[in-house]
Amino acid sequence: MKRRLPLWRKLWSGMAIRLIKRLALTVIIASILIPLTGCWDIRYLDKLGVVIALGVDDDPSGKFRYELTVQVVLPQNATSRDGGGNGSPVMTLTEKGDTVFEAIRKMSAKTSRRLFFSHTQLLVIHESTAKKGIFPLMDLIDRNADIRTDISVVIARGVKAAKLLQIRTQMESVPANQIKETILVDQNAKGQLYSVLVRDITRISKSEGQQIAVPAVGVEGDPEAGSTKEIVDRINPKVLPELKTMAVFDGGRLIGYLPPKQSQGLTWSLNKLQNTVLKFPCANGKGHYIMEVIRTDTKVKAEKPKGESEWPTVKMEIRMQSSVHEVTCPGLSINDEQTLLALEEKLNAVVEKEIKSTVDWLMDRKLDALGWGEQIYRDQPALWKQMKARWKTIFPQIQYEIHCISHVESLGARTDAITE
Amino acid sequence: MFGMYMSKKAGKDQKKERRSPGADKHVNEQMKDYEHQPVVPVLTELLDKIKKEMGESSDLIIRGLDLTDRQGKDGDKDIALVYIQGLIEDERLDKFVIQTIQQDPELPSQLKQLKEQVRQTNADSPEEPVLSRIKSHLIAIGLICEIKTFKDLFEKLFLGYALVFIEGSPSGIGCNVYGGPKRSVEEPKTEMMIRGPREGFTESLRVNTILLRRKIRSPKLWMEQMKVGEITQTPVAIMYIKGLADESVIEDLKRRIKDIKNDGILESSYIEEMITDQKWTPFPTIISHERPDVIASNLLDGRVAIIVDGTPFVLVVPSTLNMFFQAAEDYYQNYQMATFLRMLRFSSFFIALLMPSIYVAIIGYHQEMIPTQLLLKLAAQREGVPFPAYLEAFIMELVFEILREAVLRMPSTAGSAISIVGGLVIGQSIVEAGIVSSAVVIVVAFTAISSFVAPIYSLGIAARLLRFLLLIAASTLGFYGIALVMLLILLHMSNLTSFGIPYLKPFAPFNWKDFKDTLLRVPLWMMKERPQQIGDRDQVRDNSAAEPRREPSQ
Repeated sequence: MKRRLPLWRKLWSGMAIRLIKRLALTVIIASILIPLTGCWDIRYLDKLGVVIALGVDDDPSGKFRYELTVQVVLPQNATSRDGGGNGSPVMTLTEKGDTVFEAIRKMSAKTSRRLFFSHTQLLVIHESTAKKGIFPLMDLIDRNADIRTDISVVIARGVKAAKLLQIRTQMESVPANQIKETILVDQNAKGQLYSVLVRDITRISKSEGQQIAVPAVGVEGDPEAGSTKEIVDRINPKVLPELKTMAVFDGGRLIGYLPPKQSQGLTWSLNKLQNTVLKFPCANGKGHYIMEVIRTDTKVKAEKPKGESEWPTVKMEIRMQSSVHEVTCPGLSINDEQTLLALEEKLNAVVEKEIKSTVDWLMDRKLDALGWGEQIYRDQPALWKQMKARWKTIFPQIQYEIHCISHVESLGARTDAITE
Repeated sequence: MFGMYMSKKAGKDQKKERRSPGADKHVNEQMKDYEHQPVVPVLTELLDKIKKEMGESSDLIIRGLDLTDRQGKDGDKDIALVYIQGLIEDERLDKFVIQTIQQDPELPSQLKQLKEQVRQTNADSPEEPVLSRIKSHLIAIGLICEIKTFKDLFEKLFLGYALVFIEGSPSGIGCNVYGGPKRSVEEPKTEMMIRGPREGFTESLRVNTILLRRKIRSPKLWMEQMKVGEITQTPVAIMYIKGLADESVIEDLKRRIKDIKNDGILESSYIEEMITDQKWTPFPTIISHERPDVIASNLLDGRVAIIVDGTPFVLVVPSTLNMFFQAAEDYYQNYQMATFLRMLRFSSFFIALLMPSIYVAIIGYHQEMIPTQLLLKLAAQREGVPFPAYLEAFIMELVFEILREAVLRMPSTAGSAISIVGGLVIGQSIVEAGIVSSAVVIVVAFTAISSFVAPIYSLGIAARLLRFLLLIAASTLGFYGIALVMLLILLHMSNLTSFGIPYLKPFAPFNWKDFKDTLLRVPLWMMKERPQQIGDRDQVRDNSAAEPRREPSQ
């Protein structure tokens, strides 16, 4: 009769020992990996205050450098399907500080939820703050790995940034989205402004001589009326954020605003324009016709100095495809080729004039917002070395050529004008 | 590759020297003892011994035939028929065995002669006219055999043989009149399809092998049968196509099956667990099917089928992970659709594995990774929920598993009640009450549906278990944890083999030729070669002139 072995002895067979050894090795390796991680900090979604927008103003008391306003989303109101009837979709907190982060940390005295900046969409800077320089504001956003650098930057023109963030909007329940999306819509339909992100600003700040330009936003209506619930119940809103033109900077300090035509010219020169509409007077002086630029592409090149000039010539080539849209010229028939060619030439002339006026406007103020310095650096690096130090004075003397090529693609569903 | 495996196997043999003491217990229960006990020529003695060994079981039927008319003396018969009631077909026994013996005119005189002979010599006579007459003239049954020892006797008795013993003869005759209740060939319950054969395996080994023979009419379809289970003596057959199947796999398989020493085999999963290469893995390394057409196609690919009596599930070795994503219908329908479904299955396997843990990781750690609108929606749903996200996911996963098990085990009439309770109470009320967020319910429901997509049930089990491991990793380490566990799983899977074939083949080691039948199902006319396994056997499967036919010339 064989002796019955106890259970532990049975388990302690060779195979079990090998298994335990292997298991122990796995556990050791796995536990070595754990301290390598940086993701140990769990944060509950419902304990986060999602900051959707930041606004920076001057401190009115003058004690601190900035007055920071954050727009925090209240998810239960912002996403409710019954139109947010039970409360405001966002709230704002305001705090003062010498740096952005100082002000943010001071806010912890007022929030029950940790402020969370990974989903921030918009940075609004008041014009007077921008005049003192906007680069210091970018550092926190660019440095902190938790904050995205695709935050859209705008200048609050004629209104405090805090006030701009306190206007309730009807189309988007979150006001920051309204401003951000409007810029994109405008860029795609008119091209008077283009969206500028924090990472664009940090990139340009270190580029060769280029100056930044940032879209400006103002308000239409009474800014004080904005924050109450009544405003969203009205069909014609009392107040709305409204886009203005591009604001131009010199070394990160706000200098002024481009006029509308020139603002569009800047968008066009930087190849940010996608679609726009231009108005032309009729040949006989009665009425107008409208041409839409459907697709456009701008190419800039810096060529070797020509003639007497010792500096490179900048060549800009703009290709456009357009279509005729609204015609109110009596008796204008666009059926024949000659008319079409005339239309194309007219378009070329107008665009060329617009860009020229933009360049002249910028040259008058010695602001290279067009990125030509960068272009020369790329195409003519040897020359750029000589120019770099004096670029600000050389820029207005740069010779440039603008060359437009356009093609009318479509005339719409009818040929003759309906106007008699 | 296989050499390495063989050396491993040799190592195993050495280890067998130290057999665990538990193995000794089987010695008493084996049939082996009966091997040395011959059938005695004295009928009364023989029948007494059978009765005694079987404990006078009442389904043991002994029918004595007194052909030499020696009335009066009880139990003194000339011929005895022994069988188990219900295991045989009565009609055939009556008609082709009993009737023919009773009506034979010469048998009584021969029996008398035999008796005289025995009485005079008091010894067994080598030539037996009675036995050979019964064997060759009287029993009108196809399959008969000679019974010499008690081992033969008991083996055949329980296989549905009727045994004929003659007074004075040292051996008996077994006639196969197997009968009794048997399930007919029906549509398989586990592998449903729209187009394809409707027949499925049954519990009877013989029916199953017939179903395969009917699919592959070739002398090269070889079958070997053995008995496994020391008490149950379950017939187990392995089938393969000679010349296609790898000889070393067959040898290895036979040895592994012979090594099984346990009480009984009640289902093919017993065999599966005993012969797998790796015993500590949640992944199934042997696939089982209920459809003869699937098994036939696997045989044609050069694999080996293991058929176990008493279960409709037939095993196939070697199996790779890829096979668990193939459904028979992939080959019966348009290849574009089949390719789409393949990809769908692979992706839903990953969804079933990863979705809850990804949800937990995003909610707990990586809120910046999802679009803002989605984040706000999720945050709004989480508003006021009392549990952290990972606990919520755990609870709902567990509830779902309970529900699933309940529906499986309940009588089918109660099943609908459970689904009402589960759907209404858990699905709706729990969200309305704000105890869990509706996002979690969506995640769990989607995970559940995805896990049902797997054509082979056993792979879904692996995903079900690993899901919880991933959930723990995600709730403690976020995406980093998920990546870590996925890496471990991958590492584990690439270590798996099935009868020497890497489990992840053809993904790793990568094999372009085999890749035609993985994520893709290329048209049959492009699958010209059999799966590349070991060695180089006859690899061409399709030799038809096979590109899609051209237009007939005018």
